[in-house]
Amino acid sequence: MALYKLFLCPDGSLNKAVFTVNMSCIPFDPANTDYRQFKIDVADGEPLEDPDGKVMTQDEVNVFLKTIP
Amino acid sequence: MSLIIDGSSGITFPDSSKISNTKSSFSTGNVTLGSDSGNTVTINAGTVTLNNNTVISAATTKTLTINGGAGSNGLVLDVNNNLTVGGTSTLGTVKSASITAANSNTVEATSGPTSTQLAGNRNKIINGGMAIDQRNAGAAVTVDATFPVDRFQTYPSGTGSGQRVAMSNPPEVSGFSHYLKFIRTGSGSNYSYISQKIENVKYLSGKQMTFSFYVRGDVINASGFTVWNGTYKDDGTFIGYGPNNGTSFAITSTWTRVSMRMDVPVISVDPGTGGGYFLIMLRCSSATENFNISTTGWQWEEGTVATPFENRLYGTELALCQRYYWYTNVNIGFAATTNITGGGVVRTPVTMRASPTIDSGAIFQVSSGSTGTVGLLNATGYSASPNGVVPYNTAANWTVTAGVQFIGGFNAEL
Repeated sequence: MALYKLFLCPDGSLNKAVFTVNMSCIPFDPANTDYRQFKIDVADGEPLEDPDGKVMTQDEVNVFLKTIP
Repeated sequence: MSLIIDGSSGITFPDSSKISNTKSSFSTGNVTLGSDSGNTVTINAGTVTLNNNTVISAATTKTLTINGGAGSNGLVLDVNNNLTVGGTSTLGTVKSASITAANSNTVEATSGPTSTQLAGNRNKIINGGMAIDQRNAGAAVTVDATFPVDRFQTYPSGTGSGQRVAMSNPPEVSGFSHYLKFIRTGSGSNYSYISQKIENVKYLSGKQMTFSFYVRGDVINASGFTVWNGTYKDDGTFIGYGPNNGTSFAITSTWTRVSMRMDVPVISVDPGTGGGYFLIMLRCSSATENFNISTTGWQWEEGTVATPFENRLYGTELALCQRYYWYTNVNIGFAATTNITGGGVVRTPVTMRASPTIDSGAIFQVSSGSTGTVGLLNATGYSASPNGVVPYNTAANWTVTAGVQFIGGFNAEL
């Protein structure tokens, strides 16, 4: 099971938050310590699931990281 | 009869001379009692009256000593107007209704103040008395890097736990209601520690600080514990150790207050918009030995002396904790329409340090239907912020009449 999972807002847009494997929910706020750790972890290869449950490739993760604060 | 000495061209008294008439007075213009050769001039009198513009001075590098009375009476300086103590002067015990430093000068105690009415907000440590435990309500936590009490992180490394414990009645340490018990019963591969991170350290750059705490060991590891401390940027990048990093201290089976200087090094790099943080850690000196220690009364304050622990009001201490973690149990006032996702705004009681994480274990309780999964709605128009968040159900499983309650924690720890 992936350590992190993206999910959608009710309107279908990508939520600016991520679930962890233990179901904490982290906002995309650079001041949030969990968020900083999330970015470090996925950049280092920890698996990240997209909202459909598919584990993203490292290239996809790297592209995604450039779109978030 | 009286003796009049015309001292217009100076009078010299040989060694050990005395002027013994209690009614003696000098009514000339300027009179100087002194010694050019470093000898001592002693005035033995019940009362010495110093009129306007009288100067008592010691030559450069000399010492001016004013002795008090015998016993505990001390010396009373009855000054009706202003008493000026110039330069860098050392006073013994000073008691006064108020002491004011003129201009930009400072008054600095070199030994502990005796009054219990010390100025407030001295302690940079939050929840130093270990009374607030929003996460666990006193239950033991056994996982590494968790918070057994607010703001204090423990890392048993191996088998162990951290737990808030209530003091007996009367308390083992006067003035405290709780302590933190930290146990390791099976060693892991890393060093164990108790720590707290103090926000915005850059404004303490170069300050003289003192750290104090109470500690007791029921099972004391042979290697003891040491204090570790250091400064960090906002992102956790290490800047530098404090000058006394690695200081050891004694732990016995009785409660003991330990204090030590713990200055902040000069921070010459920009630690970030949050001002960086200072880490204080009690670390077991052995990675393998077991222990059972208790601690409370953590205080880190400006100055070179440990003052009595600052007992802040409970509500004040709780609000300080809630900047970093807030546990709540609220009806979020949500009225769902049939089979849609939904949620409600939860406003934080204080501005949190950052947009908070919804802690694992957060749940919804509903009056009807499935509880659903708690997510953080963080889209345009619903963004999480340090002042409020929108927990919402990520699946469409609430009914239109469902009353919804959120139970969980918001985490914005350093």
